[in-house]
Amino acid sequence: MTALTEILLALLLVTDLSLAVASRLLHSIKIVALQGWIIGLFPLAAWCWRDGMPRVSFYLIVAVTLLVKAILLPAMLRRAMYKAEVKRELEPLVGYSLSCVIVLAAMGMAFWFCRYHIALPNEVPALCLPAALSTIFTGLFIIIARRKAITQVIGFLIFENGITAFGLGMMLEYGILVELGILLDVFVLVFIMGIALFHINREFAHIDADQLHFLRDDEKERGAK
Amino acid sequence: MDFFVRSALGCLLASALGAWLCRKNERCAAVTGAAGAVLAALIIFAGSTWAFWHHAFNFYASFFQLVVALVGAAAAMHAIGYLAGEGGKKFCAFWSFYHLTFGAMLAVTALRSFIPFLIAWEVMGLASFFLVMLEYENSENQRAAWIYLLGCEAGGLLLMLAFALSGGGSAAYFYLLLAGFGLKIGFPLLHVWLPEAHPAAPAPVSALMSGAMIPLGFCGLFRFMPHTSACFGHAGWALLILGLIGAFFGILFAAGQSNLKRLLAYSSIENMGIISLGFGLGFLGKAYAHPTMALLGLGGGVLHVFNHAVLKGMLFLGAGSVLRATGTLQLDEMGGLMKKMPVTGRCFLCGAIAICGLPPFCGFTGELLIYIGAFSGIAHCHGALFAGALMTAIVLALTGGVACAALAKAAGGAFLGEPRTEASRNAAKEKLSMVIPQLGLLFLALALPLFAGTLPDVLHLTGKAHHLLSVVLAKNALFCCVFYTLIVLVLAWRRRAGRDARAVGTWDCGYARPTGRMEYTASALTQPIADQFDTVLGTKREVKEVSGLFPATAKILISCRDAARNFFWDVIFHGFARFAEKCHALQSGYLHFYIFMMVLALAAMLAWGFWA
Repeated sequence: MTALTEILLALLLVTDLSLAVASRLLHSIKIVALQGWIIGLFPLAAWCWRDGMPRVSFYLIVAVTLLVKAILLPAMLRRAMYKAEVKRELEPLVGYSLSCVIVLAAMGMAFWFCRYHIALPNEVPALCLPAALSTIFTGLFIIIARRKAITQVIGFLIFENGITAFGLGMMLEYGILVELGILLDVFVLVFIMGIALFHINREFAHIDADQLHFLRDDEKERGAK
Repeated sequence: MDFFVRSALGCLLASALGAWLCRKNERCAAVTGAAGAVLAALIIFAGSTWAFWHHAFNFYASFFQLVVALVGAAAAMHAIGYLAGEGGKKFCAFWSFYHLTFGAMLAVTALRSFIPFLIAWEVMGLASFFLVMLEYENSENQRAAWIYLLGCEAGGLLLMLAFALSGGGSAAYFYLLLAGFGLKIGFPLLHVWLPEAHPAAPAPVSALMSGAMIPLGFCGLFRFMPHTSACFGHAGWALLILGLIGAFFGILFAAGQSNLKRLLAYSSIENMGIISLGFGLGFLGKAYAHPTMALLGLGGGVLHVFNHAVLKGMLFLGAGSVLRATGTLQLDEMGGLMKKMPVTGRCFLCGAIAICGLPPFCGFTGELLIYIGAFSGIAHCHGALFAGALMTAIVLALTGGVACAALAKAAGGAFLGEPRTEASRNAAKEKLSMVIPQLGLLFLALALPLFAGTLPDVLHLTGKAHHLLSVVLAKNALFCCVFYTLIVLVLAWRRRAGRDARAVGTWDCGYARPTGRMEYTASALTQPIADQFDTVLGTKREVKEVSGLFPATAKILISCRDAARNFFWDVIFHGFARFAEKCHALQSGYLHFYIFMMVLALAAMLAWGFWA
């Protein structure tokens, strides 16, 4: 089964890279959904089927993860996108080719870091930790480097995917339980963000997060100086 | 906490509530508040007496409780007159916070474990902050109160840090304690809040803070420092050096002040310096096995804590009476108050003489012990210890000299001569409630040398040490008796002989119309000292010289800013403010940038976690 998990993790890395260069929002949302599928199916691939069948709760968790990450959240994002009438991330703060280079560099760093600084137990796939760290970093990077608020929500989802991959891959004892908690948080957050995005868009006619600094408190004082 | 402290706290609580209940009637509230404080003090006295007879007199607890109760009661009585006409709202605030401070101070002396002690300590600082803030209409007072709060909280933080490290019992622990309590005591460099807070606070609060709260730092320090020989060595040297600097420079700055209460605040720094000289000698004696020096140093320090409480309480209360009578604290605007306020003036004069360490008052007794301790160190020690003892004797002598000048300035400028301004000419009469506590403290100041003989018993001494200290104190008591008798005889003789009082103009050599404004001002009294130590004091003068044959106006304005604040704290704080101003650029308002900073911080923490 190792081969299958490695393939899934490699796929995760590929999705990270393609997210870094994706400019159309619909495209990004689709890739995030794909990531959701990868992460949701990962426990099934990682289970040692030879040693026996898992408990029922295991299937339940896989089902919930798939439902939320691969279906519900992307659907909500798509809805928010249509409501806000944004299709593209037009002027990203960091260009697409540079983004690609940065994410690649981060992946290199992640691999180097995991190779030389962390001793993993044998049953954990070697690719798991670097892939998880790369995904986390990609998520953070997209939050920082993109202008539209909706892209930042996508970045947050990617970040969350990275954390889930980390937890599942390390097979932490209570990892799955904690994961479910986080999943609930993310779900609520994206739900609220969807509504907030709609309202921001209606109020300002755009959802550019970098314009938010005009709302800063001391703007008038500074102007007075 | 024993039974007596508990009942004193209960009494304070009841009285604060009572003062609040009768807030409509000002007089009633004041009497309730003051009565509660006095009753609490009486309970503490009873407790101390009980402890003394049952040989359970704990130096840290009972002794400092006695000091707190004494000043607390006197100041509360003074407050009746001081606060008259302030209005009900302020009255309530004053009495509740006064009782809170008073109670917290008692609790500080009684609590032995870290956390409750720290809570009481913080309550004490916070409650007294509100008292300093009481006259908040003046923005100067507000600033002073904030500085005071900063000092208190910084001290509290250092103590928390020290207690967090307390497992080690290391040198770092001791020095953190020293810094934390030193902020309360007012060691040099850490003293900056003292000359700010004391002039701003109402006089009874200044008296309470200066007389009783500051020395509580010593109480805490001795209670929580490890009682090992190595630590005694550290403590001895640290206290000795801080004492040398604090005593001399404290009084030097006192001489340069023109505000009466600020002058007294600097004098408090000096006295804390003298106390730490005594304790420093004592600890050094303990660490290096010189029992005589240890005994005399510690005994002198303890006595001086008590003396300082009595005297500084009295002086601050006197300053408060002057403020209420004339409406000013500027010495150069007073003068001639002795005629209007005879009792206050005489009390102040006696207090000033005593706090300079002149015989026969109580100030002399404490300093005498420290002197003899230093001399025994000079006679029997070698090397660094010899140098320390020698420096102690020299600095004590120098300090005493400058103290005479500084307090002559205070007492002379305020009470002697002719009134310099309308304010002091029209000074109000003194009130009974403000005079009684001063008289009580004066009585104590006179009586203390006679009863200082109990000190060896208070310190649980036996055998040779008991004998040594008793002999010194008995000789001193005898000397004081003779001195008092002589004074009484002289006074009686003068009364019998009668005194012819003539009214002549002040210093009228050739002036057609001499006025009070022509007499020596308070600043003039200490001008030689101010000039001598110009570089240290950083005296700033604004002079408009006399020119021409018919000069219209001429003036000279001399001010002296605190050196530690000027050259140390201001530099640090301004540097920090500049740095913070630069950091303000980080607050750009860009969401992306904030998240970026957060990610950086996370990455840094991750790296730190892996490599450190």
